[in-house]
Amino acid sequence: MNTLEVKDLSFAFKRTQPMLDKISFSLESGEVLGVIGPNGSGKSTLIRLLSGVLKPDGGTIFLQDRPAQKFSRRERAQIIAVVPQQTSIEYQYRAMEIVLMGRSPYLQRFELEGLRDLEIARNALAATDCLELEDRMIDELSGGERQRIILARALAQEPQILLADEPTTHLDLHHQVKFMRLLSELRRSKPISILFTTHDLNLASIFSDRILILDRGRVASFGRPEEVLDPELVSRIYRIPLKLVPGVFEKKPLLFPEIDS
Amino acid sequence: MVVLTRSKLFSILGLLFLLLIGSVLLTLFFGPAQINLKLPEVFSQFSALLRSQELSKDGTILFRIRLPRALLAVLVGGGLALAGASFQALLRNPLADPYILGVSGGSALTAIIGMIIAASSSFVTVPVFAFGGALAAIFLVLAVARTGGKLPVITLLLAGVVVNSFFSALVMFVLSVASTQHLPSAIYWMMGQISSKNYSTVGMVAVYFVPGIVVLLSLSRDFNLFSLGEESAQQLGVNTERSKLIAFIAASLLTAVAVSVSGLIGFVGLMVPHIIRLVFGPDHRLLLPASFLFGGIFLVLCDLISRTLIAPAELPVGVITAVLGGPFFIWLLRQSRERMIR
Repeated sequence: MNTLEVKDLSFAFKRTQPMLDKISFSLESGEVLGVIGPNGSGKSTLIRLLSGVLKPDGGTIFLQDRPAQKFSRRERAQIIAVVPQQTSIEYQYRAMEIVLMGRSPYLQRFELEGLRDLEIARNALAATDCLELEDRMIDELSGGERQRIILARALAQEPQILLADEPTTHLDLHHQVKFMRLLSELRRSKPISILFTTHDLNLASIFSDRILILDRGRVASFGRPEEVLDPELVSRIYRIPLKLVPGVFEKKPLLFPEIDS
Repeated sequence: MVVLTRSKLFSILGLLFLLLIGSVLLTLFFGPAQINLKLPEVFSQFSALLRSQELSKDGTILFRIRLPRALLAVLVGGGLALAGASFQALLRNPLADPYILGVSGGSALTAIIGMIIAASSSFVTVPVFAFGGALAAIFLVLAVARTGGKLPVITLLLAGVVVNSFFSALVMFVLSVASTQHLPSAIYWMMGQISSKNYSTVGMVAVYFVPGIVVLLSLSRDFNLFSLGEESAQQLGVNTERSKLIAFIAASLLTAVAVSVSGLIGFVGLMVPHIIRLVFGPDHRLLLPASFLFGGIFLVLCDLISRTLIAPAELPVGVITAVLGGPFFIWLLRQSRERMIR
C-alpha cells in the first residue's frame, strides 16, 4: 500500500523557472526513501510541498489515497511530521516541553497535555535515546542531542509519514550514523514511512529501501539503490567523475569521487 | 517537573492574583493624604459606594479617587505586558515591546487627533483612532524591517526607532497647528500618567480589553509553536498567517486602548514578560496570563511611587517605568548579543 503518492507535482517560485517539474513517485508504508540530488535540484522544495508549507502549482499529492488538499492543517500534522535541517528555537524551553509540542495537532485550543500525551512523549524520547535529556534546556544541548529531540518531537505527532530534510547535515560522523540508525530502527516498533533528503550518496545508499534522484526539478531516477546508483548517471548529474565500490556494506553500492593524483 | 499541569497553572496564577489584590490594597492606603478610617468604616464606605450613596471625605479619597486609579493601573499595566509578551512571541524576539516597536507612538498620534476632533471626552473616537494608529505603526514597522522574508533583530529595532521618531514629529506638528490650549495637557499625557480617572474610564478600558485578552490567550499554544519557527509551526497544524494577523490586531488593540487613557508608558511590555519567563519558563499558556497579572502589579506599584515620591506633586508614571526600563533594555540587549555571538 502507498501511504504517499505524488503525481505530476510541479512548483515554481517564478513562472519561468520551475523548481519541480511534473514529479511522480510513491512511498510505500514502512519504506525508507532517500532523496538525493545536487543543490537546487528541488529536494527541500519537495519536502515543503509534501508538508503543506507550499502549495503545488500543478499535480496532486495523495495521502492514504485522498488528495492532500482535502486534509486540514491539523489533520495533515497528525499524518505527516517533519524534521528540519536545523531548528533555531527562540526562548529557553526544556527538552520535554519541545517534545510535547508534537502533541498539539491532537489538542483542543485551551486543552493542556494529559497523561497519555506525556506517555507518548516519553516513548518518543526513549525511541530517540534521549530520556535523560528530558529536563535539560534545549539551547544547552549539543547539535546531535538537539536533532534527536526534534526527531522525538516529530515522533510525538504519531505520524504515518516522517519527512526529514537533510537531518544529518550539521552533525558529526558519530551523530550522523546514530541518527540514521535511530531513524531506520523506528520501523521495527511502528508502521512508519520515512522520506529523507541528503547530500551524502552513501548514507542514502546504506539506509534507503529506494532512492529518488532529482536533477533540476525532474526525476532522474527512482528505484532500489543498486539499480539507481549508476556511476555514469550520478556522475553526469553531479558533474564529477564517480567510481562505484560495490558490495562493501550489505551489497549496497557506494560511490566515491575520482580524484586525479 | 517541567510539564505544565492544570494545578501548576492555576496555583501560579492564583498566587499572582493574590499579590495583585495585595498591591491594590497597599496603594489604596498609601498616599500623601492620611486616611483615618477604621476597618468597619472602610467596609461601610465601600458598600455606600456600591449603592452610589454619598461618601465621607476619606471614603471619597479611597473609593472615588484611589480605587479607580488603581484599577486603571492594573488594566493598563496588564494590557501592555500582555501585548509585549504577544509581540515577543510573534516576532520571536525578546526585545519587542509596544513602546519600542512604535505601536504606542502610532496610537498616541491618532489618539491626539481624535481628542482634538472629539470635543468632549469620548469613549469611542479616541480609542478607535488610537487603534488605527497602532495598526498603521505595526504594519509599517514590519514592512520596513523585513529583509529577504526575515525579521532580523537589528533592523526591527531600528525600524521601531525610526517609526517612533516619525510619529513623535507628527505629534509635535499636530499639537503646533492645533490650538495652544491642548498643548500642556497633551504633553503631560504623552509622558504617561494614570491620574484623575473614574469608574466609567475603567469600564471603557475593560470592555475593549476583554476581546483582546481572550483572543491572545486562545492563541497561546500557537505562540509556543512559533518559537520553533514559522515553518515548523505550520507543519504542526498552525495556520500561521491567520494566527499572526489576529494576534497583531489584538495586541495592537490592547496597546491602543492603554495609550488612549494613559499616554506613553514604556518598557512594561518588555520587563514584565521577561521576568515571568525567568521565573516560570517560556510556556505561553502560563506566560500570557501571568504577564497580565504581573503587569498589573508592576504598574500599580510604579503609580504608587509616582504619586508619593515628590508628594504633593506627581511624577508621570511613564518616567518611573522608563527609568527602570532603560537600563533593563540595555542589559537584555547585551544578553541577546552574547547569545548571537555564541
